[in-house]
Amino acid sequence: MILSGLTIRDFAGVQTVELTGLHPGLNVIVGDNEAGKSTLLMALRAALFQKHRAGGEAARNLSPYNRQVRPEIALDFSIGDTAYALRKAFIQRPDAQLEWSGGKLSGDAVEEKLAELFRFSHPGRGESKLDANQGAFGLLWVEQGRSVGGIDLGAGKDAVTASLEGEIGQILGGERGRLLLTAAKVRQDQFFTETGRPKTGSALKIIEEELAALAGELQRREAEQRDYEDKLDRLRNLRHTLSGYQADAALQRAEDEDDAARRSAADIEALLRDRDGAARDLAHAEARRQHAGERLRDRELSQASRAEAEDKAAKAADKLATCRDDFAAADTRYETARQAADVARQTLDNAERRLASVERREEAEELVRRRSLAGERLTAVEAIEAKLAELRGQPAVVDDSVVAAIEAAERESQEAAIRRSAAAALVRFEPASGQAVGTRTGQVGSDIPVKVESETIFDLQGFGRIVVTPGGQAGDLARIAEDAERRLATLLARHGLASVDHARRERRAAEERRLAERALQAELKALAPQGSASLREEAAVLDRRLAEANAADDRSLAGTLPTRAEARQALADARDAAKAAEATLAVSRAERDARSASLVRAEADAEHAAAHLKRLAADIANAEAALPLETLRNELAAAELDRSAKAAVSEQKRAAFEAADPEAIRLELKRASGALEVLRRTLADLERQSVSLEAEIRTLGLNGLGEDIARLEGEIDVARRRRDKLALEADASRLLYGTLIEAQRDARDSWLGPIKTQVGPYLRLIHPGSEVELDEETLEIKSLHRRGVQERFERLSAGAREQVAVVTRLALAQVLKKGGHPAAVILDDALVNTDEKRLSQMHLVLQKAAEDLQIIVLTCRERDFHRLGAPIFRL
Amino acid sequence: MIRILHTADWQIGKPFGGYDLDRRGELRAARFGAVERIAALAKQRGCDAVLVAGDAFDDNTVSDRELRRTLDAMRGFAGPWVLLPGNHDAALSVSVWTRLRSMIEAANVVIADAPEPITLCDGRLAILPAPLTRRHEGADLTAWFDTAETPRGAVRVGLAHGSVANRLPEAAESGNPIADDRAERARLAYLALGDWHGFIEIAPRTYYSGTPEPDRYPANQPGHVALVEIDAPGAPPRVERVEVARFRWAEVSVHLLGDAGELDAALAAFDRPGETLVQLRLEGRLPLRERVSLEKRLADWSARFFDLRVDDGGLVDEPDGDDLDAIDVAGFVRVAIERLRAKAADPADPEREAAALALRIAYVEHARLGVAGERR
Repeated sequence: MILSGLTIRDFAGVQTVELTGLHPGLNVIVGDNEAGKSTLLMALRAALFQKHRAGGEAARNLSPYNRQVRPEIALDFSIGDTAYALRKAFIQRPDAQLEWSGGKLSGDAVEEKLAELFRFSHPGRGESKLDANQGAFGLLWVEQGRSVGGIDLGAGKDAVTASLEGEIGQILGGERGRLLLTAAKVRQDQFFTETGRPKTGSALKIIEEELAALAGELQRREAEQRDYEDKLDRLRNLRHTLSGYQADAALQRAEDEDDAARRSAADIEALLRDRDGAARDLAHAEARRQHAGERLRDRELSQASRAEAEDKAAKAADKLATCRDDFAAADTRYETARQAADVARQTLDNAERRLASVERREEAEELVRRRSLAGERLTAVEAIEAKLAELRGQPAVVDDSVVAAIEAAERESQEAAIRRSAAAALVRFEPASGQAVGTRTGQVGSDIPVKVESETIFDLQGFGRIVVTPGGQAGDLARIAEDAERRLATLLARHGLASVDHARRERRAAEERRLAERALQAELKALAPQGSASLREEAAVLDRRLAEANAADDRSLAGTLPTRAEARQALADARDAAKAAEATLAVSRAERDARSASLVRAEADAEHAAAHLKRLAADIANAEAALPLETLRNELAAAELDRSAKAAVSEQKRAAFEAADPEAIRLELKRASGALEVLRRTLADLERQSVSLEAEIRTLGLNGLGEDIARLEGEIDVARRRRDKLALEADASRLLYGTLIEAQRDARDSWLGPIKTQVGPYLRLIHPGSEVELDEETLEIKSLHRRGVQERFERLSAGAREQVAVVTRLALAQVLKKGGHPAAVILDDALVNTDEKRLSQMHLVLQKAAEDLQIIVLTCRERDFHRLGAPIFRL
Repeated sequence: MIRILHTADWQIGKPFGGYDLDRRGELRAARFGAVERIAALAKQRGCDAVLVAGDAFDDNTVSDRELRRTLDAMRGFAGPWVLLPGNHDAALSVSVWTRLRSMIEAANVVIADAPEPITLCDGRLAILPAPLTRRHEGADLTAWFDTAETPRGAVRVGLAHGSVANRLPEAAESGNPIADDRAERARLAYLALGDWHGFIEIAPRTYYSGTPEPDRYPANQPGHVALVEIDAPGAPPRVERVEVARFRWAEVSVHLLGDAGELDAALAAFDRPGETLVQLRLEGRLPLRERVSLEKRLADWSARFFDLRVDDGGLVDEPDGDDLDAIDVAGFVRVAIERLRAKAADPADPEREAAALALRIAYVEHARLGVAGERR
């Protein structure tokens, strides 16, 4: 598409603008602010995309504020080789005309033709605004200030995308494709989670769980069946074994063998009894022989013992005589020592008594002195105590509290009297003629005030009675005063006091007595700190000890007593002498005791030897009388003969027993009875097992085990088929969705690719080594890759953003153009944030793009573009 | 003349676990219904005995309730009933038979769990049973028939469960071998066999009656009993195949090429869809629009049949230009669809199946969005 001329009249505040001879490549239109640059772009949009009959807000935007005009636009353009002349008028007498070399249209047909030429659709009633329905031109014509925000497709995105899809030839499937994709996703989601894992609760998962449960159940039932069949086998084997035993008559055979073994064992038992009997007889004969031998030996030993006893008795008598002599000599020595010891003890006793007497007399003298002192202190104490007793004999009539109470009562009485007196009425009589006035208590003088404190009757001569009753509280006050007086009197009477002064005097006297008493007590305390009783006790103790000392005085000691030192020396000497005597006595006593013991032993030995000899002699005599020695010798010879005979018989019986091979017979019996027992046990055990197994098998057999297994196998088969079907369905759903997504991505890549290819050379001019990334869904510029670093578009500087947005638009326009779409780019002050260096680079970009495209730059800064080498049009 | 009814493989208690609870219940109940019809038929035809050649019960652990219901279902014929343990209900040490024996009140039910002759009809009929005492036997248990002594003049009838060596068209399940000349060698008038679920004369005078009520899809003529008449010892048997089944189990294979409509023709051939279970195998190639149409048709048929199982492993989605244009003519959707189409068409791509389904989903979703769009 090439714009060649544009004229607007009465359009959105601009009266007239006329542009002709626009170049097919780069054009710069310069205008100051408010000169109508933006209006120019607006008019262009209105001419192509807004119906001439449009009303409402769309129409209001076209006319100057509050003015009824007929905005008109004349647009000359060419698409391919065809030149078109478009004329539109809005609001008043709206009109549209389109002429080209092959035809002419007017009215609504013009709008349809324009939609066809520029591949857009007019908005339906109530649909979005104009800019949402301009197809790709929404993208290519950029108003002032929009370029910095990226591509900014906004509400027109769908239209642009659809337009791109249509133009590029990489069809994205449209609405149906999107619906199919959604349906495939729904199907896939029935089986899988977002992360592609099998979904819990999905039909496939459920059937797999069912299958697992069935397989588990089948396993259990098969195990039970194996157990059942194993039991059947065991039962069959048991029965087979049992019948084998029966066929062999094994039990009968074992019983017969056991019987035979038992009989042989009984025979052996009889031989054993004979052998043992003969052995016992031999033992008896041996015992008898030994007995006879022992009796003869005893007799011969007794006779030998008697001779020995006689010798021992003679030796004991000799020893006794020697011991008696030794004892007599020792006894004499002991007696002499004993007497010497008695004398020494007496001397010691006397010395001790003398020393004790000396010490007691000294103690008695000390006691006499201490008793005298105690007596003096006691006399003084008793005098003080007498004075105290006297003081205490005068009792106190009152104490402080009583006096205080009395004084309080007195004050109360006085106060009451004062208040009564104050409240009394004063009555003064002034008789005119000297009439007399009297009361019960007497006459009342004239002109003399009478204080009336209570109801009083006055007799007035010649007049009669006047009763005066004082008002106010006089009556009460009188009673209070009387009560106070009465309480004071009662208190005084209770303590036997005549008056209040009396009470005070009594209190003073009592105080003086207390002071005197306190002085005496201090004195007493000094004399007898422990009290007088303690002092008396001390005197009594001294008296008693003195009496004891006097009583103990040893009168037996005549003469003058020695000194204490002399007495002590005498005592020490006496002690040494006594000690020596005692030692001598102890030695002689020990010697005498030893001799005495030897004598006793010798006497006992002599006595015992004599008795033993006597007894032996008597025993031998008795034995000989009962059974002479010769008889004993004959008995022994007979016993030895009997023993020899019994030994021969025993040997014979033993030989017979051994010859019968008892060990073999015992072992055979053991074997036969053991075998029988084992066999019986085995058979019983087999029988029991068989019965038990049969019962178990019957029980298991009732449960329909085989049926269950076959049923489970069938159910598993069905479930498995269903599982396989669902698994295939799941795989198919995933495959379908995956393939659709992949195809969609490929399609997008295939149409985003050319854009990137177009953008590349431009970017190299302004940002060498960088690459732009577009969002495949929204077409928005996502980021710029510069020197391996990814920078998000919104983080770029305003200048960089507008540069990237402009080159991206140029690339999109070229892609569209290559697809046969009418494309012309209009930039309205789109590079205001770009620095000079980059601006000159952008000039190169625009130059390059203008080789294929018509580019119209609207600007208010002519000097930015005067070096561009493009025709400049001024508004 | 001796007239016997030969049946086998009742499989009472078979759980049909692969079906939902309602269908399961009906299929299980149908097996008792079959026994009732057998009893009524035996009575109606004046049979001398009913021989059940094994697998009367699906398992040795079927519940007591099933056993009692079976006995109740048998009441219509006074007997004798001769029941042979098969591989499903082998006469183990403790088995369904030990329990059944304790429930039998009358002597008209004979449990043939010992390899010894059973003489019936006052000595005119001698049954030689070969009971299985475990699930799988390596030896031919009918060998003893050859030397078995039976009353003079009695018709000798063998009763066994297993597979006749080298005769069955495909391997029978239990593997218990039976010699194909047993009838000959043991001088049997008839050898009544069980294990194979279809009706078949497998060797001279040797028959499998099959199960009276089908329980699986193979088309080997299940759902019958054999009514056998033998005039005298040595006389050839007259065998009549009588249908007693209620449900029909069918395998259907449909080849679709471009048009889903052929499905209707194949399925409309069934006269009692409410009592028919169909295993449908779909093969061929369909464009997406036809595939979507097929799904709708299948949903309709599914509601009409007692059960309809579809194996569409052999059916390939083949989106054509119209399909793709219907989804989208341009744009990334078209790119995605083309990519999925390439994936679905590449046999080496592990996501081939998922891609095919994804295409179908895209188609359906697109159609739905289109309809929704039109409504808007």
